[in-house]
Amino acid sequence: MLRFEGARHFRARLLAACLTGRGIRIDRIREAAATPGLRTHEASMLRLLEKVLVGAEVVINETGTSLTFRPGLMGGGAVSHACSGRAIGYFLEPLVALALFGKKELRATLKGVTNDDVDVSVDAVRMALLPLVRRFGVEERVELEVRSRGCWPAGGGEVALRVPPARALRPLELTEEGLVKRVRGVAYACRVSPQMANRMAGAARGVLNRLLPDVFIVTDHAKGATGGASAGYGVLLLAETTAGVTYCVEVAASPRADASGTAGGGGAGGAQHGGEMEAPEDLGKVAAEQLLEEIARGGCVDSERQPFVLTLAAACPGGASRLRLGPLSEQAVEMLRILRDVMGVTYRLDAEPNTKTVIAACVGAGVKNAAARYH
Amino acid sequence: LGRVDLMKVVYGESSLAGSGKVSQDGGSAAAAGLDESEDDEEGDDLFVLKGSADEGGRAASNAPAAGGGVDAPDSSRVRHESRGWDPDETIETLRNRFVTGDWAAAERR
Repeated sequence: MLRFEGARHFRARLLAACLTGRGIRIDRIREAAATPGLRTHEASMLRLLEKVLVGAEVVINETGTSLTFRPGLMGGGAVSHACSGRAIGYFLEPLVALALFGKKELRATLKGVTNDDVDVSVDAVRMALLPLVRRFGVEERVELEVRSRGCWPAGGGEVALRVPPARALRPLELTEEGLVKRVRGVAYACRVSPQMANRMAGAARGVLNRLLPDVFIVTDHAKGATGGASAGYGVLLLAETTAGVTYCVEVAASPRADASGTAGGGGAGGAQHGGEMEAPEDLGKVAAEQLLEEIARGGCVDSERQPFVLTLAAACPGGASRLRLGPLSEQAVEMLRILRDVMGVTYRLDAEPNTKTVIAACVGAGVKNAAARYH
Repeated sequence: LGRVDLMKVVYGESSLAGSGKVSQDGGSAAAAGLDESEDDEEGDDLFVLKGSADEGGRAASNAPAAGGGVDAPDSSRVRHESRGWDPDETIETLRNRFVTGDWAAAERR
């Protein structure tokens, strides 16, 4: 049994354990904190995993500071889960990777916060993460439907995820960056004036139009039942290159301070938000500048999607994957370590000084999906 | 930054517990500081509560202090330091990464 310490990289550790079928133990989880042990979102993540896995075993000690996790097999099927403590994106990222190795098609209905300023939004999963799955030769349709939006803290959003088991994941060859040819985006506004979305989109366009005429940002004013239970707004921008590479960034207004009292499980974290929500013009401009930073960093996978792609390439059966990345994110670096320690896959990393990018190459561990394992 | 360096930075440390070295972020001074205080834990700071960094829960994505420590928050969101794109010269440095730029220069990159 592999042993880890602390609450950091919780999802990455669980995911690596699930993909390899190896049991893990995590000790000293927030041992020194005012309230020690697992948080609501981590418990919720474990419950979701228990629903999709067959024969999973989770043992938590009395104080919640130690966890033993034996993953069993990925089952799939229809599940419904209320995502508490964190936004739905927190739960979606490992779930998508895991579902590709399932026995049956996963049809998950997840409820909670769809967009906030802490986790990857459901829009980013739909527009940036899921298309990357296709790069691994997955022909079946992988879909995420956003039925209603919900902002932090009260949520009220709902999404439906559909991931069929991948018959055969193909190794990845992704080294061509291409030139940015267009920018697409979504500016959403929930339970606030519809003008907010237009103002964010306008400000983002103002910056990006200096480089590119083809900038199109959809405004989504979610109202009534599809607008969730809390006020919020934000904008996501996605740059596409001639080689089909995408760079995605997003920015959301911090929830109002007075809303933190109702933050389910957020606890002390929620109280960190103070003051008024940012002006939509500022958010739009920040989003555009973040996108420019992301493009400047280069590579064929954007920073937020690096750990996901590195995981799938490492799990891939048969043959070597090669991909070009910008400067590695902190999450990606730790993911690489976890993949080596749990899965036994070591990437070869070659820095290219003239483009300031990294060529990462590995031979996948050959994780088979649960359906195939029975034959 | 050669190949050897990068391999060492990434794979020089283990993600597992008790592998000799305390796992910490590669080169992050803030993280190193936090981990050092972890080592002293058995000693005199027995009753000192750790800062908000290891409170877990929900820290704003734009709070850089969120990183570091064995209980650092787990989020994939990345927020880059912005270099300030307002002057035209700054934005023009990116021109050749766009189809509106010089394609030949982009080839040479």
